[in-house]
Amino acid sequence: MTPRGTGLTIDCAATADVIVRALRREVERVGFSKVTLGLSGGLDSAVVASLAARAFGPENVIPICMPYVKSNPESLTHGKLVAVSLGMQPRVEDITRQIDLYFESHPDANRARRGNKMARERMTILYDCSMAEGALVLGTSNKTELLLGYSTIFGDSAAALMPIGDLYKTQVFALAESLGLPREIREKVPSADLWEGQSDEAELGFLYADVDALLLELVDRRQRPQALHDIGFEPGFVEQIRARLRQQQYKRKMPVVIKLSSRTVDKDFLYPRDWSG
Amino acid sequence: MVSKIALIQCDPRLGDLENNFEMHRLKIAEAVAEGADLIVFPELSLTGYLLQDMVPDVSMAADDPRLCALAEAAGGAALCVGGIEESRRHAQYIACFYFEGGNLRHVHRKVYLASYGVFDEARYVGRGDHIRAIDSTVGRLGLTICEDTWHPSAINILLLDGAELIVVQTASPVRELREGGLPQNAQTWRDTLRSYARLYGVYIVFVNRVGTEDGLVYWGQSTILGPHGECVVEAPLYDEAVVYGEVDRERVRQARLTNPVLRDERIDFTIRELRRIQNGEDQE
Repeated sequence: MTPRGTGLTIDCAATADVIVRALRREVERVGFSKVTLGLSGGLDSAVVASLAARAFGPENVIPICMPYVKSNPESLTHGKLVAVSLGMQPRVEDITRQIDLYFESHPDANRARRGNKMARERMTILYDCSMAEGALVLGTSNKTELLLGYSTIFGDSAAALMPIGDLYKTQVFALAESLGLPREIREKVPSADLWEGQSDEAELGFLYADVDALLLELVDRRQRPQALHDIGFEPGFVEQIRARLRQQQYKRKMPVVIKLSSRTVDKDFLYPRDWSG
Repeated sequence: MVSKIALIQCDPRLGDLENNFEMHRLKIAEAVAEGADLIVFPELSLTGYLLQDMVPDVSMAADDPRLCALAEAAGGAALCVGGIEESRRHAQYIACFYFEGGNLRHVHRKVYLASYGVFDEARYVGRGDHIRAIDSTVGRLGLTICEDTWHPSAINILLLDGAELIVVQTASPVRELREGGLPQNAQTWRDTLRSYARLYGVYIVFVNRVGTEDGLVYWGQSTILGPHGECVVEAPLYDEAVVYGEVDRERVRQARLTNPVLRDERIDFTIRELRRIQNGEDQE
């Protein structure tokens, strides 16, 4: 039994307002007026698309659906549904040919390798769109994913800006409802859809509601493990998540640079991202 | 004596001195035209906040001619602007430059640097070593910069030094945006400042910036709180604004007659007890 429901409630209107303001500022600062994002048909990308539409107007958001032949057909249907409901024209870039061509030479690749390759292929399409259209790439990762490292490094984790990166998955659900996103999107089972039948919660081995409650205590409130056991979190679950937080740290950092000179990038050559803006 | 204060809730461009000086000139002209007696900009209004290694690139001596020109533009109005001061020993400080009649009257160097959470000031700047109230055209004035204000000892010193009005410059970003729509830290600021104002019978002029830097969203809501804890004026959340409010020294007198906390302060006792704590002596 996992304790739930304390401290994860957000004020959706205020949250959306702050994100929309920050989105405008961060995008305009670097000289862009348009954004692009991958529209998977899932909840996170739908929420980011909706916030982007508010910030820039739907005509300045380029949503791209990037199906693979074995993707669940529902993903494309839902991606298009989201785009149309927000007044956007969805683009469709089928990634089957290039993925299959590559794996012809690597027929033994397991589904994780294939899934990662697809995520990185989608990233290259978004960055190509960025250059072609002058549109900044928005990431759709949420805080739960970022903390658990539940992403493909340099794949779906690659973006210029992560509008919902400080919201837990359960908070994204709440935001989706307040943004009026279609019920089909809000009520479907979360999935990266990298292989048939994939489900986030089945693959992770726990429910978002449970892990969000735990992450809130561990990360935001800096609770010690013993205190978490005392309030009802199962010790094995606490240890599993603590280990995962450490193991996945590399996905949250820029590559390590070996220091040799007097000032080294990312170590003692420290400037904000907005230095360039 | 009643004075009109202009609170400049602005959005400085990070590291862009030229742009920010121009913004200051425009805002000062606007406030002067409105008849302001004191014009207050937020923390690091000339440079932006999240400077990191840009600090030495945007630092300036307190007698920098660009600062003097701003002061002259303010004419008869007093002026508080925020920037990075470089000392003669080439150390940098987060500073509030205070001008009157076109002349530099006081520089307050931030005494308590914020170096926790998203803040890392102590890595980049030195900490100030003085805090004092000064006589000004709007009454006896104390200046604090953001984190200074979270230390009641600093506020207490200014009040014992005679401050009737405390100007607080801040660059405070959203933290814990929760139910109710107001960031948790904004609520804490509001409660803390109101307590100071009401407890000591002092005006608090709080000027916070807006805009974003690297995903930090500054929340604004600059305000003047009166000596009974009342809100004299309040700027909106998140949006740029120039708001004006009046401060009346007579109200300070009234508040202190009602609640003579400062009259009854015991400086000798405070110093003696602090000295004992400093020396690690046991309680009796």
